[in-house]
Amino acid sequence: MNKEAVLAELTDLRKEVPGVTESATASVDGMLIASDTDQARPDVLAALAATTLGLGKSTGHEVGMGELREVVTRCAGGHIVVYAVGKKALLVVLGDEGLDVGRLHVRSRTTVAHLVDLLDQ
Amino acid sequence: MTDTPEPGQGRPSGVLLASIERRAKDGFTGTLRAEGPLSGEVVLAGGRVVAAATPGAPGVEPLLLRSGRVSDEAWSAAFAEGAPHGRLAEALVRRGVLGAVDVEVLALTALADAVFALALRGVHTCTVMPAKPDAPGPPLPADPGLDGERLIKETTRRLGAAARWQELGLTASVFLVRTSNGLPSDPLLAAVNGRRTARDLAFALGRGLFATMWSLTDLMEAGAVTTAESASEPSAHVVLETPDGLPKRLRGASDIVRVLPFRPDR
Repeated sequence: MNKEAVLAELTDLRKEVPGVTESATASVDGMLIASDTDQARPDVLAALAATTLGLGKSTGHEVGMGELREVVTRCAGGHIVVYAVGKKALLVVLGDEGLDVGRLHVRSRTTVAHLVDLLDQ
Repeated sequence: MTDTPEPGQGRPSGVLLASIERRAKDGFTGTLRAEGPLSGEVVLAGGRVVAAATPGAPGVEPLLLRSGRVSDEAWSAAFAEGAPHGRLAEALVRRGVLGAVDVEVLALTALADAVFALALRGVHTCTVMPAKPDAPGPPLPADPGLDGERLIKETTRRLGAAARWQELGLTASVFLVRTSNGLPSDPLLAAVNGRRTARDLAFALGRGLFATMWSLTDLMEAGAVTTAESASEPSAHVVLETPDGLPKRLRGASDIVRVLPFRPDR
């Protein structure tokens, strides 16, 4: 795994999407791989994101809505968005209240695709 | 319908301002959807601009909540009462959260700041969407809104100031770093951490983008803040590789039990 390339993907996402403040990538069982964080605790964020992703997938299947696209949580102080990265990993993105969610959904596809390649190496 | 720039019309901000000017003169009611480096919407009613929103500038909610001016509880209660019926302003006043004048000033401040943010980053196209009878309007429209000509004049004045700030290297999207050490007493200076742009700082503190950039200019001229070529290096936490490329979990390693509530049944 090219660690610098993984981090570059995270920082590029923050620089290119208005409102992205922090991000991390982790295995689906919640083990941190890399983070571009400021105030969030990376290990805890990774573990909670894994739980969030699993819950989203289970709920989607339970109600017959098919494959998960992403899990979006909106709080008073911002957004938490979790994407699956292939079958083994995830990407969690934190954003402020003004996060351009639509732009993030489009731009994050590239990040996820690159992370899949990088994590498989 | 899409408003696109006229040939030879150089400034990208001109697309937005020309579109506002044209629709205001026509007495338009509906939304201008702006697309460019930032997306956003400008809402007009009878030719007057009543609201604008963009991810590039804090809206009414972060302006009130992040600044600590209004509590989350008070905002949520007023929103639940008034927003579904298009009467958020009335609910805020009735509950004593804000005065009527405060509401009007707040709505106009957010509106002008959003148009400034969009014009500053540039707009490629403006799509014109006439109002639909059943569509919900903006949560807190300015009443009676801003005259188009006045808004354009104000935005042009702000763009002129921003052009001067750009000579210092300050734009809405450049990352900023603090040059002085220690704990600064100025909240704005304290929030400059190498990872935030002027736009990010405006959201973090619940201040308008224009006002934030103005204050940053003072700090830059005082030598307390400078621009970074790129964002600071992240506080990287790269985990050792395991044979299959992904890390293995060790029970309790994340300290998640310190965050989640204790479950005695498990």
